[in-house]
Parts: sequence; structure tokens; C-alpha cells
Amino acid sequence: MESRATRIVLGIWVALVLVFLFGPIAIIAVYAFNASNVQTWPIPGFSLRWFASAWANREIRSSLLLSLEAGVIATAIAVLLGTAAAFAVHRFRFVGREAVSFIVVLPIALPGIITGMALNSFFVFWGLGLSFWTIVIGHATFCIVVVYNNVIARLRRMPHSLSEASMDLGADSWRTFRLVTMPMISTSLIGGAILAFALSFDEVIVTTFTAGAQNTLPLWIFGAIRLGQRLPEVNVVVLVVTAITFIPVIVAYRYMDQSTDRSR
Amino acid sequence: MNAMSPPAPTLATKTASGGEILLRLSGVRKAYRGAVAVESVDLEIRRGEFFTMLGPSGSGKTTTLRLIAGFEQPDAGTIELDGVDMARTAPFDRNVNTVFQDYALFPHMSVAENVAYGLKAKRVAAAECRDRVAEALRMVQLADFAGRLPAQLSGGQRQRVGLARAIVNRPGLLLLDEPLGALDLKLRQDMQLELKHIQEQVGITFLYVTHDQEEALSMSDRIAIFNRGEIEQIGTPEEVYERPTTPFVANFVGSSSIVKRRGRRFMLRPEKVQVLPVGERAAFGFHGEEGRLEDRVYLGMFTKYVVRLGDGTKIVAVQPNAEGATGQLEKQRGEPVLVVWNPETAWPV
Repeated sequence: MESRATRIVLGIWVALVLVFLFGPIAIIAVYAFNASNVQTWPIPGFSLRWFASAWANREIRSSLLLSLEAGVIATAIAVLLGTAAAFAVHRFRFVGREAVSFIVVLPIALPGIITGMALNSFFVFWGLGLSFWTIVIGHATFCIVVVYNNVIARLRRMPHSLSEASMDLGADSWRTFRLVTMPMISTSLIGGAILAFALSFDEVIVTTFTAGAQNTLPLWIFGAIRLGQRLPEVNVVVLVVTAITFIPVIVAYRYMDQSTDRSR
Repeated sequence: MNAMSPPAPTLATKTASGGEILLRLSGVRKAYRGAVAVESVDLEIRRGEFFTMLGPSGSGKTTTLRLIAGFEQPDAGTIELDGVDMARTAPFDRNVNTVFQDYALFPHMSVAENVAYGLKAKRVAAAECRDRVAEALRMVQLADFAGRLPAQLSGGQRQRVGLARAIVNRPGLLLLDEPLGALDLKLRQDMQLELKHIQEQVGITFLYVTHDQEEALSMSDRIAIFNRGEIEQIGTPEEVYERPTTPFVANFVGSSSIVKRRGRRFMLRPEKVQVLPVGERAAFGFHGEEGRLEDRVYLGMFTKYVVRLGDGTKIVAVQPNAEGATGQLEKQRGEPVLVVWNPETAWPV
């Protein structure tokens, strides 16, 4: 058992880490309510005016919509392909199986700038104009990884005897998949999908290379900060996005937590 | 512990009646990437029999069971069920059901849904399905647990659900893969009796896999002893215990001492050896030899003696601690003692 002194030191240490991680976000949150458009500390007054102004901004609204659409579609693609890949790697022994499982995970290890550049030159090479769909494809590359990892982890933990028991009781492969495998992996699938969406929603680097004239929300924020324009609205947007992303991340965390409980 | 459990004579004498053959394995062979799991297995199981495949881990008994269930396909040989070769038939088209060692209950389904799973796959009418599930749950004494999830049950209860889920389908053959392996000793012993009762009640042929010789002896009509992918002996519990045909069987089923006399090797069961003070007379016709007491272990019901004979042979004897019995031999380690046995009980191996 640790002594009282170590407990206090550890407590302070944890507090410092938390401040380090979340302090900047807290400061942005405070600035979002700043009455002035000049960022000074402490803020001169409290106001909600930037919320109204951000909401009224058409650029912000269209980029938010674009981010949501791209995120949803990229996630849908990732769920389909990631699950299929996980099943293939888990169920079948084939030549290049290890290579496939490595390649699928590669995009998350690869620096975003390389993925972005590669995709960009690929699209340009084939004369595909950068568009909404090139953004979706770019996002899908790393969203697949998240879904794949989640699903294959669950499949590996799932006792093999479950599908054997199902077949033993007279269910064919399709019935077994529908009634046993799918319910068993559903929570990992939902968790993976939510994380994939969260990744897509705040992606900047790959998007920079795959977006044409469109701006996703992170790109708009990035641009606004670089040009030093509309900083108060940026604070508002960041605060709202943070608040919104917290919800799915917590939900996803819950699902994954539950999944580890279940396998015990 | 082995020596504490001589075969129950009531069960041992109930030899399987020469009924018709339900399952026949001929020349079955299975290798995994060059490693042979089952070398060449021939086996005949009669209808209504409680048949046990006994052997150490890696002896091929579980692989044989999985081949019969259809989870694996043999490299060679035939698996005939009711005279039809099933070696290439998918598990869901075989009239066999399995009770798994890890229960393999579907965690997202209630007990009743688990038990109904096989009936629904076979499209049994809802009303009949309900009745049969209720009956099966009554049989395993879980009628009040129908709505629970597997996670809310104890290990023993889960295994009962696994059993109900299999027998509710009334398969021609029930496969049990070390079903009591994960349970503690007391529960195991209760479940052994219960399994045996249920088998007599439903009349389904049981094919049971275990590495526990005591379990095999107490439950089975016949036992096949597996070693290194092959069957060493098939026989009633009494036959394999009293008249083993190979040294492996003699050692794996129960424990025994091996004595070499006049160029032949004999097996001596510990409960058939008596340890007496030196100078005492052995009964007429008994063979007696002097040795040195190496160890005396008190085991509650029994006392175990380890005696080293003059030629270095180690003899293990077990004697009941009955009222006034010879189990009270008050000799210390290193003291000379007399070991006595009836030469007729020394079985050549």
C-alpha cells in the first residue's frame, strides 16, 4: 500500500497531467463567451453574441454540413469494408492473410501527410477532380482501420465453440452469422463506427490534400486561424464541436467497456 | 486418489448388451499440418450405450469427438451413423448434438432461448417448441431459470443448460466433451450421477470424453482408452481396470505397481496388496515378500504405503482405515515390513 505522501504526490501529478491536456480547451471555452473580439486575459465581459454570429455564418454552416456528410458516408464504407476484412482475416486461412491484416492497419501508422499526398497524386493521375467523394475516400482509408481493429479484436475473443454450437444445433452458416456472430460483434461494430466518425470529423491533414474547393469544418477552422479572421467564432465552433464529440466518444467507450466485461 | 476408487461393481457388471451398432468408425485418421492427432481409429458404439473415450490430453479423444460432430473432417476413414457415412456431412446436417466443455452458451440469449435454438433451426412448431424446452429444463432442474442470461448462472447451472440445449433435440447420439472439466470436485461427482440418471431416463446414446479415469469408470458401460492417437483397449470398466491389455492402460486407469518375476511383468493394484509386520503369516496361497517401508501417507479413508523390495521394485499398497483393520500398521519409515498379495490378482502386462 502506498503511503500518504506518495498518494498526495500522485494526486498532484495526475492533476497536472489533466491541466496540461485540458487546460487549452478550457481557455477556448472561456474565450467563446468573451464579450470583446480581442482575446485578452481575463476576458473583459461575458456574452453569447459569438454564438449567434457563428450560427449565422453560412461558411461555418456549410462546412459543418460537409463534415457531417463526409463523416457519415466514410463511416458507412468503413463499417462494410472493415467488417468484411476482419471476417476474412479471422475466418479463412489464405495466402497473404498476414499481409492483408498488416496493410489494412497501415494507414493509421502512416503519417497523414503521406496518405494525403499519395491519394492526391493518385486522383490527379487518373484525372479525378477533387470533390466531396475524394474527401470521403481519403477519410475511409483510416476509418476502415478503426472498424477492422474493433471487430477483429472481438472476433478473436469470441470463443470458437459458439459458432460450432450453433452449427451443431442445426443452424447453417448464414443463420449462425445472423443469430450468433452478428449480435456478438454488434457492440464492437457500433463502438468502431463512432470512433471512425469522430476521427473523420476532425481530420485535417489528409483532407487538405483530397478536398477541392470545399471546406470541411476543421479546414475552415484551420484557415480562419491562419488568416487571423473570425477568431471569436472559431472559439465558439471549437467549443461546440468538443461538446458534441464528447457524447459519441463516451458512448463508444461504454460499448467497448461492456464488450470486455462480456467476454469474461 | 486413483487407488481410492476401485470400480463400482454394480455398474461394472452391467456390461453393455450386445445391441445394434449406432456409430461405426473405420480407419479414421486426422493430421494437422503434419502432426498426427488421430492415427487410425476403429470404434463401434451400440445404441443406448454410455461410451467413454478416456485418455491423456493430446491422445486424440477430443479430435475423434470433433470428427464425429463434424467440426473437423477426417483425412481418411469412414464415420457411419446408422449405417450412413457422415464423414463429409456438415455439422448442421448430422443427427448428433454436442455438450461443450466451455458450455458455449449464447451469451445474448436467455436460458430458454438457448435451449430452443436447435428446435427453431429445425422449424419445430412454436407450441411444441415451448413444451419441449420446458420439459428439458425440468429434467436438468432449471425450470425456474428460463428467463435468466447465462452470465447470471453458476458454472454447474450453465453446464445443465448446455445439456438441456442438446438433449431437447433428441439426437441419435449425444457427444459430451469433458463437460464437467471446469467444475469443482464435489459438483463434478454430483453431476456424474445426474448425467448417468438423465442418460438412463432419455435413452440417448452418450459418447463421453474425459481424461479423468475415475469419472470414466463410474459412469460408462464401455470405455475406449486412447493413447497417441490410437485406441489401446476397449472394454467395460471392470475389464480395463482388472485386465488391462497394455502397460499404458494399466498405468492410466487406476495406479499399479509393476513387478518382474521369472522374466514376466505383472501389474499389482494397490488395493490388492497387504502390508503386514514382518513375521506374520500370509494367508494360504498368498505370495509374501519382505521390503522396507519408504512412505506412509494417511488419506482419510485409506492409508497408502510405499514399500521398496529387496530387488529395488517399488510396491504401492492402499488399505482402508476400517475399524480394527490392518491399516493401523504402526511402522515407521525405513522399518522392514512384509508385503503380501494373491498371485491370481497379479495381472501380466
